[in-house]
Amino acid sequence: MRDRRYLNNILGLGFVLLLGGFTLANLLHQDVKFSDTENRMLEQRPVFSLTELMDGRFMTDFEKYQTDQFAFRDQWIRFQTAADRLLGKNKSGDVYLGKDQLFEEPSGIRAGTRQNLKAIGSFSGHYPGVRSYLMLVPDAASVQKEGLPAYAPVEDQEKQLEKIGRYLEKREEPVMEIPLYETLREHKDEYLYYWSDHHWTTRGAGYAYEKMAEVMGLPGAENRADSMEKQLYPVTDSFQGTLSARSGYQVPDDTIEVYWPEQEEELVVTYVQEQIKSASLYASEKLDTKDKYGMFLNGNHPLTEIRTMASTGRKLLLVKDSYANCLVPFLTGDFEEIVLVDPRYYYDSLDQLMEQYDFTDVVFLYNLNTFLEDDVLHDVLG
Amino acid sequence: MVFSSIVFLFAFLPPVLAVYYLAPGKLRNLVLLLASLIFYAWGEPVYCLLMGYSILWNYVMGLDIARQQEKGKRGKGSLALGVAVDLLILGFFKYYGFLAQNLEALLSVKLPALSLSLPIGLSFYTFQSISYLADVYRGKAKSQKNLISFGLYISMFPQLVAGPIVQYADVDAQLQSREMSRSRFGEGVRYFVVGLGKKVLLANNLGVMYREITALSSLSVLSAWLGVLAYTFQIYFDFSGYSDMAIGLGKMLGFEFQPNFRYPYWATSVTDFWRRWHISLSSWFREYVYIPLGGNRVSTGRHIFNLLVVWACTGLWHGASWNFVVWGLYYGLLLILEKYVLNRLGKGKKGKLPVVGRFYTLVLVMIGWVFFFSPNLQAAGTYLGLLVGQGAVGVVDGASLYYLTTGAVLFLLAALGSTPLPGALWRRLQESDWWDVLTVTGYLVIFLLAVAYLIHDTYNPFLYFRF
Repeated sequence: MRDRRYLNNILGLGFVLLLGGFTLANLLHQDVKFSDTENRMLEQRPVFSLTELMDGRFMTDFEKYQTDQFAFRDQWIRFQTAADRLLGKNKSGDVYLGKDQLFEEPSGIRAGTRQNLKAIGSFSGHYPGVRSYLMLVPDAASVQKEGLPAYAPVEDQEKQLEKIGRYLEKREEPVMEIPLYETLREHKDEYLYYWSDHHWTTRGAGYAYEKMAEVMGLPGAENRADSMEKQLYPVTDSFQGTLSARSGYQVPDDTIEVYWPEQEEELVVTYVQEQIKSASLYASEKLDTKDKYGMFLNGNHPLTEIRTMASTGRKLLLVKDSYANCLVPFLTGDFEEIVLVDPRYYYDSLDQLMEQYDFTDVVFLYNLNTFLEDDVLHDVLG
Repeated sequence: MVFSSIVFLFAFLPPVLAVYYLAPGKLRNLVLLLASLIFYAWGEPVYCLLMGYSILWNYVMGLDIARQQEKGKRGKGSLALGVAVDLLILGFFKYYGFLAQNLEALLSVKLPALSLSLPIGLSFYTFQSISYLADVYRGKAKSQKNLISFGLYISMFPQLVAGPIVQYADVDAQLQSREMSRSRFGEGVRYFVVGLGKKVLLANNLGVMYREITALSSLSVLSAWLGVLAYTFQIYFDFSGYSDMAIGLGKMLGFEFQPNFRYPYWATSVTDFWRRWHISLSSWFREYVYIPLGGNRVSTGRHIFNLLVVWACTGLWHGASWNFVVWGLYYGLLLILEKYVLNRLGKGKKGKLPVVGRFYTLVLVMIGWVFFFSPNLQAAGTYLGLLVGQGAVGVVDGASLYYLTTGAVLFLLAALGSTPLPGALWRRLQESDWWDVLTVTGYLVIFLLAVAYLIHDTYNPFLYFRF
């Protein structure tokens, strides 16, 4: 038996050096406000107060602060995900790592889902003169399920959509579904979803638009949809989205394309609550930030009004999440006015808007996963 | 605070170690006591008062027992009073809700509802208090006249939250004086790093798998078994990891605690399992309940009764619900069965086929964990049904294959880590210089990996935290 003491001494010294070294590095480390890699605000040093000390909130915040502001945080995260992959894991939080593509884990149907569907139905019932549509966009995890890790036990969104359809049918809700699952499945091998982000691409939105035009009888569709692919232009090829930020997994950079119709149209976009006007659907300055998807309609806003040059006699209310932002450019030839409401940020009543504008169509456009997790829509409608 | 947290490792431990080692010998107990109070207050500032009360109460009662014994009495009354108050506090915080619920169901007596959170470590330090009073009463140790030393015994941060439950007689001398050396510090580091690795790298990852499997909307037989297996490994690495960290920290501070686990899943019988699992708890029950009841030097009937009492208490100690009582009695019955039936049947054949014994023990232990992790008895019944196919969606499904393939490496590491084999291999290989370098590097890499997981991973529960 060899002398263990010598080994212990070295190990003890190594441990003390690591412990002391990182403690010191943390003390010298400048606090960071925002993490670009993780795309989120980092916890800041908590303010000390006696009440927060007694109820333990100070401690919880301090622990978060310590972890968020740890020196070399990005490198630690890369180290951890590498180890995780060595362990054979291909899921980090709610993100699956497929082959060069990340997938957000789809949510299940909850009690709130029924509440939202009911609210959509009764809202539509209130305005019998207005055509009302529901368009739920399935996620990459179901449309491109072949790319998921083998046997990944995810919710079947095709079944979820069927279930929602049956529910609406049974209750005879006056809202028409725009079914997208089949449409997107037909193009499943194309670039429909970003690899590193939870959004769909403009191409994905384009196929959805074709389906929309068919169901809603959109007048501008003829001369637009045919040449959709020819009118997509790449604006950046270095997009790393929310999924890679959340999971720590590295996948190739995404390319963002925008829809740029050949005949340029003039339009005015008004971000109502911010009182900002713009002549473009795109905010190209966002391409210089981490949040590159925000270039579509400048990210998320509670209420956005778009006036176009179209003279079709139709006006659209779009109740939506961020999936709609890259689809709107397809709609500007079909509607004279488009009003976008994001219920997650909009707190007024929709009835007021219905009175103010003379809408001919209402579309509820959500990513299925966001829709299932949503618990504010029924409030805004009711 | 828990050891497996960034704030413990990089905000609490470094200054505490520095001050402790720089302080003159006489002040070290005080330093450690203050550090322990901060450690405790970090999680539960209000319950610090309760612990302070506990310390004072048992300190006074210990002195009282000693005083009575000086007068030639036995001090039985003081012992009874001291223990009764300790148990009353434990009972109030831990079992009030359970009691109220059962009284209402059985006798329709309605007690006012209170929502009390169980003070961290209460179950552990109550048992240490009782150990102190009993050891003084039995003359196994002298009463502690120094309040700081006594406070340190009750509140010492390495074993405060989750043990090991230290018996007073074992540390009495160490509270007065203890030896610290670089080599012992390094040995402590070894225990601590291994424990941290077990907890953060194995237990947390297994915990994610267990949580995901049990959250599935339907389970196949294979999924159900993988779920129990994940939990079986999780709870072992979680708890034994925590004990290793406690023992390691103890060594860094100059204390020697008894080992708490000795490869329990390598046991060849259920009796053997309980000699290897949470040893400090079984020793406590043996020392302060089983032997005082007469142990095994009584009639067979009385012996069986003694065993059942001890095991019902052991179950109840783990949690205030019928699940835990059933879990405890399940082991009581198995031990009785092994002692009075299997041992007689298997006389002479013992030790010939350890593999069979290990398999039989592991399966029974896994079934036991189903009672342990289920929220109530009904849920436990449902889950046991799934294990044999009742209510399951077939024998194998996609989800089970997913967890089998993505968990294979983890399961393999966990299985190997549950046996003494890697340790034995390490000892055989250590006769060379390059192996030393590799060993030290290995420990430090485990430490860095664990830190990386603590920084990035959000899932870091601690199973024995609320016991």
